[in-house]
Amino acid sequence: MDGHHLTLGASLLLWMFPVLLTIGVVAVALLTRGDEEDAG
Amino acid sequence: MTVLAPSALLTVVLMMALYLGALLFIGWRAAQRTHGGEDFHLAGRSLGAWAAGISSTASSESGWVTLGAVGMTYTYGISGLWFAPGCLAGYLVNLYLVAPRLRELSEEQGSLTLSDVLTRRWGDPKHVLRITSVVIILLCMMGYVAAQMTAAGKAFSSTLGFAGQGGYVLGVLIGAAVITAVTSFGGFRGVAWTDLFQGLLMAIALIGLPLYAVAKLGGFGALINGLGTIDPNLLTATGGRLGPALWGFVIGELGIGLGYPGMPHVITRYMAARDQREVRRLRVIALLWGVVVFYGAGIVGLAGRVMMPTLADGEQTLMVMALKLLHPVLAGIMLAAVISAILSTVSSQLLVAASAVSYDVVEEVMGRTADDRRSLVLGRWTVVVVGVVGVLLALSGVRLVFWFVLFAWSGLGASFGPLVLLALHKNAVSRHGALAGMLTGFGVTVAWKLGRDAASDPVSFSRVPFLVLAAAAVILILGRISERMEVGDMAAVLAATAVTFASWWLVQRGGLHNLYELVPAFLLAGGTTLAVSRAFPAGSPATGTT
Repeated sequence: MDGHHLTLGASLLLWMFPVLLTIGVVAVALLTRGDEEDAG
Repeated sequence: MTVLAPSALLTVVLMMALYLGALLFIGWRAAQRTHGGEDFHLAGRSLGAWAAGISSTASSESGWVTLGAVGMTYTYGISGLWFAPGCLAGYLVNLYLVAPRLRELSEEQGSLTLSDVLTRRWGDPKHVLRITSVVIILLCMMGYVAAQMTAAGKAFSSTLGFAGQGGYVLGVLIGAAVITAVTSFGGFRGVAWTDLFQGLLMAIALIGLPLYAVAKLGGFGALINGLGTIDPNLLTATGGRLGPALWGFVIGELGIGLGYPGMPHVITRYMAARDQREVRRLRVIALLWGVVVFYGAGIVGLAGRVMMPTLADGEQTLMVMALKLLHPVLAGIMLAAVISAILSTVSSQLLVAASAVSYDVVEEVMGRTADDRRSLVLGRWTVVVVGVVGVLLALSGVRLVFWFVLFAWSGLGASFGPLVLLALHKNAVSRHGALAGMLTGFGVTVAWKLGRDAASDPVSFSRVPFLVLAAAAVILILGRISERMEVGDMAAVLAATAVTFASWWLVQRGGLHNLYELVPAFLLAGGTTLAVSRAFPAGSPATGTT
């Protein structure tokens, strides 16, 4: 590395947003799976 | 494009032939399971989560994602990625606010198309809403179909090494023939299954190619260093933009997401899901697909900038990179993925346009209620006719047709997006309000878009008042002659005309040239719908939702 790095905004845009979104969606799906089975 | 050695070209051509053969095979299998009208227009509401989820996303992302989105990050660096959160926010709205309720409502109503959902929601005794929505869909979709067929023709001719105008015509004909055959025989099920195949191909390409390219560069550190060496602005979230230019750019990119709830070819996939359990599963599948495809495309553009910093056209990055880096078999798969992005959208749009004509106009408005078998035959022939018209438009290059493409995404998004959300979540809307919302969404889109381009095209912008007045006069006269319009409908047309005029004035005087037209058009359409509904509450929904 020769000193180039990403600002917080660029890091958020490039990798934090997709990673957090993926974790969030999968977590919600897993947490609501039990409700679905109860309803079924 | 890179010129390939004859043996490599032959391999790529063989891969393309395999890909097209696979599409035809899937279409044929789907045709064997398509027996009637509901099957043809909505796959008999039998789609599983994978087909419904990936078909919805692959239909919404045209060649833009493998060409335009890659070009964005190639040109602007990391700031070119702002489209991704915008699009994914649109996915979230569709998957959580639209999909479950739309599936439920359409099953309750027995509706088969988006126009059908809206008209049955608010009642439409004289077909005013249905005719208006069909006209807007056809105006936007036919331009879209023709433009996508043009793109497919260019992609085929450059991939397969066809030369000149003759090569382009051949490319258009190959793409159009295959996709029209699949759509006509397979109907909705054929479109959904081929979308699933093509969507997976896109995901594989946009996972594999960026990983390979980044590894080839020496890892993410080397990618970041390479970009910083070319231009430090490629590494910032603002891209070096300041003030109104920055906010206009960011809001515009995020605003793309507002279009998703209004895309008929996307949201009808939710109506076709087998049950609510499949809807819950398709949410995760569709969102993960979106994350992979958008960020994969973005990273291809970033890596391409470092590897090939002097490309004349950043949109060619994926194709050039595949041909330069990969074995011809893998390059063939990558090129098939580029064409998949185009054809998966064409098939869905072709079907929506054909359903609008055969189901909404012929069966519902003209009252030619056919039995299930005749409805299927009518649908199939309408797809062929719409496909042929699309090819003729693509080859003739009629300027007016391609002019409508400029408004297609925003026009559909603003005309139907607010209405779909209100239809599913509000009872305070009447059919007159719905008519006002559709017309306002389309009108403001055109006026604002021309206002943004006024510096380069002042003549078109100056014609907006005449266009708006002429359109309003034609609608009112036709409504009067046909005795279809009530007082509330006429008030809706006048309200939409006034709001469109106001937006034309605002973009001209208010210094709002940087604002993407879908944002004001969406908000004004929603506001006008509610205002007119309050003034003319007649025609409120027959069946309520909470």
